[in-house]
Amino acid sequence: MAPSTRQQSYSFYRQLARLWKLAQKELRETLRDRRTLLTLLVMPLITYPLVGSVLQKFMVSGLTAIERPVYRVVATDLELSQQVAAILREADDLEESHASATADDVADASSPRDQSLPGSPILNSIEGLATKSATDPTTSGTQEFGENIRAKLRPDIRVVLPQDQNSTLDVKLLVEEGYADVGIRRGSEGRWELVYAPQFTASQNAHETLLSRFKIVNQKFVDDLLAAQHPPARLPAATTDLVLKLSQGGPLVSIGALIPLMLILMTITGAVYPAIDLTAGERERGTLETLMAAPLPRLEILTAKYIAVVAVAMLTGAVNLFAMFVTLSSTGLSSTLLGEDGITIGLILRLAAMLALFASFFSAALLAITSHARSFKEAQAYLIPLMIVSLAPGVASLLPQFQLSPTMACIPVLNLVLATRDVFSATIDWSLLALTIGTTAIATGACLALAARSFGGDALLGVSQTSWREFFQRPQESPLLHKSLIPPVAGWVALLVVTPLFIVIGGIAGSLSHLTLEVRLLLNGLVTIALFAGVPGLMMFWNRWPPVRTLALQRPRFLALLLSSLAGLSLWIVLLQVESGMMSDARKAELVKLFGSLQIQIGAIPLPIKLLALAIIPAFCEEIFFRGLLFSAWRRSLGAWPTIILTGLVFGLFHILIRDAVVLERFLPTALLGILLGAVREKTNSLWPGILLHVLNNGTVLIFGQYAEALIAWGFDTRELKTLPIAWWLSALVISATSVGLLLSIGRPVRSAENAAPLPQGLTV
Amino acid sequence: MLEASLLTKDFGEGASRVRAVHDLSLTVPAGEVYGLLGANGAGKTTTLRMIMGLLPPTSGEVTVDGFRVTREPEEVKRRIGLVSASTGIYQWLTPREMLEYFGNIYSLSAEQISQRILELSQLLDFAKFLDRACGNLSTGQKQRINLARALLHDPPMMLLDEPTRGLDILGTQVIFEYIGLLKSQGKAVVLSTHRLDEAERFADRFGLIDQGSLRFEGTLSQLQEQTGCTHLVDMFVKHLGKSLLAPASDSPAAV
Repeated sequence: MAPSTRQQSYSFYRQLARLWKLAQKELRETLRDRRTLLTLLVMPLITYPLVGSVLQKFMVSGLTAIERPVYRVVATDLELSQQVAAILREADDLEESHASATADDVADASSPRDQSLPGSPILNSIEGLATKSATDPTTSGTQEFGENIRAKLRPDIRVVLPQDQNSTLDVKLLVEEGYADVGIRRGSEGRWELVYAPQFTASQNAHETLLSRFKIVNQKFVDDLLAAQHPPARLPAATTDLVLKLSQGGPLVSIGALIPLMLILMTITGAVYPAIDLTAGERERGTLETLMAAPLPRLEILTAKYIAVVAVAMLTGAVNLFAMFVTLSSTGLSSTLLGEDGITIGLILRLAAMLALFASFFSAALLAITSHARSFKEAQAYLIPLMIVSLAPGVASLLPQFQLSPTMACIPVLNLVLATRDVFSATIDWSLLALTIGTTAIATGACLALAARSFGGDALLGVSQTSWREFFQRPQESPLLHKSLIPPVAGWVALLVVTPLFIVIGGIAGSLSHLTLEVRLLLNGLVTIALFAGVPGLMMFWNRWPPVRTLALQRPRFLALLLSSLAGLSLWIVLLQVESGMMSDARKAELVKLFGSLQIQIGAIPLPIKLLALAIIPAFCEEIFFRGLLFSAWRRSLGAWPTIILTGLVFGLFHILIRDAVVLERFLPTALLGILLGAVREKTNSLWPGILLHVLNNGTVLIFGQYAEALIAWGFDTRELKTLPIAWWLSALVISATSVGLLLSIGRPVRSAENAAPLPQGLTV
Repeated sequence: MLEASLLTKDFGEGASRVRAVHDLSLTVPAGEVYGLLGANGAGKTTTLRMIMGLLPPTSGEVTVDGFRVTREPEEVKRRIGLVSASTGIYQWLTPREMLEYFGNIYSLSAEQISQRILELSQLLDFAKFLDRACGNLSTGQKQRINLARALLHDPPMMLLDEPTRGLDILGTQVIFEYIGLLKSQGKAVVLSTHRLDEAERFADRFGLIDQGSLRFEGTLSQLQEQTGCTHLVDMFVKHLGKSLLAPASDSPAAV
């Protein structure tokens, strides 16, 4: 029968049809699971309206709590009090009529006739207190809401009348004692003298309010006088305001900046459960083996799963957005958040398009991770780092300094976030959007390929490895005695512990400017030891991992040490050149300004202290952390080069966070250095050559910095980050390339046990 | 039908390298039930996985129906049906949906699939619960679905990996009937087990595997001649006893 004979080449159409049938099964499986429905569909439908109404209640009650300010004004006698009160009433009337006039004006602003307003009443130029707002005649609920707030906040001025009609009050005393906010008495030349105390906020505000109301009346008086002239005269600089009403509206909160974060959260929450269920769950149910035994490329199985995960993620996103929109429009918050147009077809289409992009990338990324997992729990543990990593770019959209550029468009996730922001603020560059989509498609494909590679791989069938829980139990004896290795999750845990501490302590360090630089340098050294050596140390102690094995502290070949010294002495010039090449002149000047004073201060510190704090301690500790612990944790599961590159990139990321500044230019040179150090660790199978290289690299920079003056005379200005003389740079390049090349080719001293594969425990044979 | 020659599988490398299967060769013609016998951890499952193309052999080759597993693993997989004690099912699907899914995986047409489901549901007696969710089925019912799943694409060769493990008497009886059915259909069957009674009952020929190597091979009478024992149990105790007591001494830990 048919299946027993060799299959004819499958037509593309039939392949697609089969893929769809396979995806249907995955979808059925996920959507019938009541847990999926509950967490993904019902929850948003309940939570958004709930949160929305609570928010609205909070906002409304919060606003009613704001009392309309009342200022007390007192005049010396009854007559003056009555005059002041009359003026204030006139001011109120003028303001009211002006407000409606402005509204008409704005409503007509779109017609070109009114674009130039030479003859419009000068009255319009009297800008009232808080009436600049556009009051659409057809106000929506929210606008009414806004108008109410403004009406509420318009200060009320009450003229306090003396009880005894004939007495004269000492207004100065009354203000001083706090019985009134402003006192009015007759001054010279028929002017009123306003008595107020600026140190009291109420008195200060009352004075300002009073002045502005008087100004309205005075202006009206002047205008009337001028109008009564023949021919009517006008003020030399009479103005009117044309308040522009753009189609975009002016939302209170820039929704474009928030949408990426929302989309990330929605797609991840939507995709997490099916991604785990359809990969790690397949293994837990015992159906993985039958799938692997089927004559179907893994990529096709994975693609079917991918389609299902994307569908669920989009569905979740759609339900979330639907619930959110319904909540927004029913609570009247939509125009507050989305601008005056509120929810439009265009907005929905753009949201759907961006949702599709986010869902397609994150579904693949999640599958790539969950395919590695052996159980549901393990998959969940693996996803924590991804969540943290994904939320960071989401926050980036809130920062205006991150702009979608050709470089940014090539960084997955970050490019989507920035493109989304631009799409919603209608400033998208279409070619960059295309580049973003292209990069995302490539990243998605790479993730799927990675997932297919690990999904159901032979390592997964019947091989149990370290689970999350085991990780938190202190073993009775060193696990490495039995040839099992440091679990990959140890690397992630170390990063999760160290990264926030590094950032927080960096922030605290920035506030310690009252200490001398010398003390701060030493403190910095202590923090480095505590974080980068202390954390690995604690982990090794807790898990009874032998330090020599864990950190690769085996003795290297003498030749390796020699070559790494050479590399350390020459490499920094190359790296400096790379860093300098990445910067524009303006940026260099900015950095010199930023760090210039610091450099002068550093110059005054004795060289031994500098070497200790900035070369020896960091080199030792960073090597222990990045090339020691992280490297050993990831080396077996990721393979040599992915580990070298990953640790290098993480090393680079840590170096762009300097104190309170983020210096992106340092990423490339430090990541390169990190990758190189990783390669040295891999090839020499020892941490020592890397430590030596690192110490010499940092130390040489410091020593050259110390003698910068002398170097400038040689045409070599390190401080100004200028391009180096070609001869220096070329010879440094040759020396470092040769020494690094030799270093990576001399090979390992002894074949270490660490390199040997562990016994696949629990494998059924 | 099946020819495995000099199969070797190493796990790990360097000092900690473990040889799970060593130069194992076996031949199973169509219509024969071959009993692959061995203690836990002897290398049975690893051998079956290499035959199925789930594990690449370190050296050696497997051909099924003329297709080499290292060259055309998909053609080999298409010709093999796998029944394993640890196989699970999709609890949110109905048996029909699950079988349709596997039918699609094995590139059967819609008519073929419905035809096979009809045949197998009568043969294995599960027509009554074809459209109930798998999650609500009993262990025995789930087992029938799995047996049907392995036969859905009508493979000429069947691999049964400890099929009765964890089953009660009735479940075991179903398996016995199933093996009888396979035999009557002329399929080549490899039955991996440590249950000597079921092997003795069904297998035409036997292979006794110990520490990854085939120690004895032949029909029951040939084995009796080679070992001087009447029953398989005695052969085990006499010749493989050492590794029975310490099966995991220098082979991977057993499940």
